[in-house]
Amino acid sequence: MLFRMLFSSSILILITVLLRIIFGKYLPGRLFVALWTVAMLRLMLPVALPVPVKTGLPFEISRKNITFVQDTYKNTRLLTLGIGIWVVGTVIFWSILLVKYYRSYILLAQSLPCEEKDSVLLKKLTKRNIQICISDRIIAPVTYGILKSRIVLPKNIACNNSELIKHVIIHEGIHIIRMDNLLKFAAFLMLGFYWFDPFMWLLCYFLSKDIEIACDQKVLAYIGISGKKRYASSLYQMAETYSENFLLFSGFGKNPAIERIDKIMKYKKRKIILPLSVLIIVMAAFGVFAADKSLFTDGTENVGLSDKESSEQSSEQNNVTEQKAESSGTKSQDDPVTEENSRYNLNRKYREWYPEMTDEEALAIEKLHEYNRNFIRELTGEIVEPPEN
Amino acid sequence: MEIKLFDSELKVMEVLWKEGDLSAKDISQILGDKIGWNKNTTYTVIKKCIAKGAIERYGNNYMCKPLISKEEVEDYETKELIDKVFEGSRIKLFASFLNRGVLSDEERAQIKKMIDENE
Repeated sequence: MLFRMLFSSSILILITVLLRIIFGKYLPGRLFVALWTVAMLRLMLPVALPVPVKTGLPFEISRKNITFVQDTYKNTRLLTLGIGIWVVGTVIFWSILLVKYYRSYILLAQSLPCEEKDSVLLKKLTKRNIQICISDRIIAPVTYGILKSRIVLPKNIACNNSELIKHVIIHEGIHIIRMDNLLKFAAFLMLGFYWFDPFMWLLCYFLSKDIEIACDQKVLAYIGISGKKRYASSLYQMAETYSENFLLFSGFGKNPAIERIDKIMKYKKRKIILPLSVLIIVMAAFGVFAADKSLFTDGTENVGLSDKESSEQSSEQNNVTEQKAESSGTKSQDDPVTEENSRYNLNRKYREWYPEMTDEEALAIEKLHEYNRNFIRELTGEIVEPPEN
Repeated sequence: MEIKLFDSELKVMEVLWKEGDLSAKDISQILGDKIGWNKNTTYTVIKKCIAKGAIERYGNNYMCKPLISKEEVEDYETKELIDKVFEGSRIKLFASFLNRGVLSDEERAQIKKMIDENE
């Protein structure tokens, strides 16, 4: 399952990056945020949704090919080592994250509330009571907190032109409505789990950028196309001051303003965008989560995968069957896979309970039992005899 | 002792200057009502003040005593302003009031009175 999750999310991330590079100018930022969210969900939820449609490619692997991992004693050790390294990485990552979050939070909590006439605007926008505060220790506006959100403005902005403040409030307000802080938090949480996955790092990088771009586009929708120039000049003003990096919180002038100014000046809303975006998102979610219905009818992991993963899986299949052929040659009872199955008793008692079981399935079960016996013998020296009936 | 206090620390000092010595708990209560800080935030700021030498802690229940007076802070901040903006000249600071018509007539009269009284 984990492998499937990693694989499909990586493909999705890769495709989204390509999409962003090629069509970034024409597609809304919100679409990309949605795609990143889908990829993130794929990594968070170990589910496969049954889809009553054939997903196209004829990779229905029959029930008779049951595969298992050829775990020798050495491999177990390697696996444990791998897991150990992963745990250490995750702990280190989350500790650093926690410390950064805590220090930012402490700093921002010490800001002082201020009477801002724009708080009325903010309330109307977000339908919540969001406090606006001022701090003398930050340089760019920040929104922090998820349940109890607050906007903190730097002290030197307070006396500047009111239009800049208005733009800042609208921008941060949209971040609050869209719960971007929660999204970023989830992304970094997942990054702690998946720190070994380079695609996850790509996701986090682009997610931050696309969140800001999507926010800018919404601001423009709110203030109207005529306000484009003035908004761009606000962004420029903020970019002039050195911008800090509040990793987990959404800011205003934080990201390289040049890309954002460029995008807002060039973006034009087209009618086709909405249905096209919805289509893309649905396709992505489908491709990443769907699995054939037959997956659920017989309980084996390898049956009926959707097209993306089945090519990978089938080659894995081939490897395993090859392995099986090799290693059974190294077992004490030399036995090519296809013949000499006469030493297996195919008519044991359990077959009476499962009358629909075929001979080949019984053979596979007997081989599994034999494998287990050999495994235990190699591991502990204990000799287990096959039962009588 | 570092006189440079941040806005949050100044807020705590203001409470002490106004009410006299208080326990940390009382301070956090007052500030919680006034500006909405929660207890931990206030405690963090108080600790920072102690580290900077602006507050001294004594007694069992975390009593706080200001080590620096309001006047000292005012003097410091004014000097900072004059040095930074008015090139270290106090005259220039006053000139900015007088020349640009910032002062109302009442204020002018008051200042004149203060200068006379201070002789």
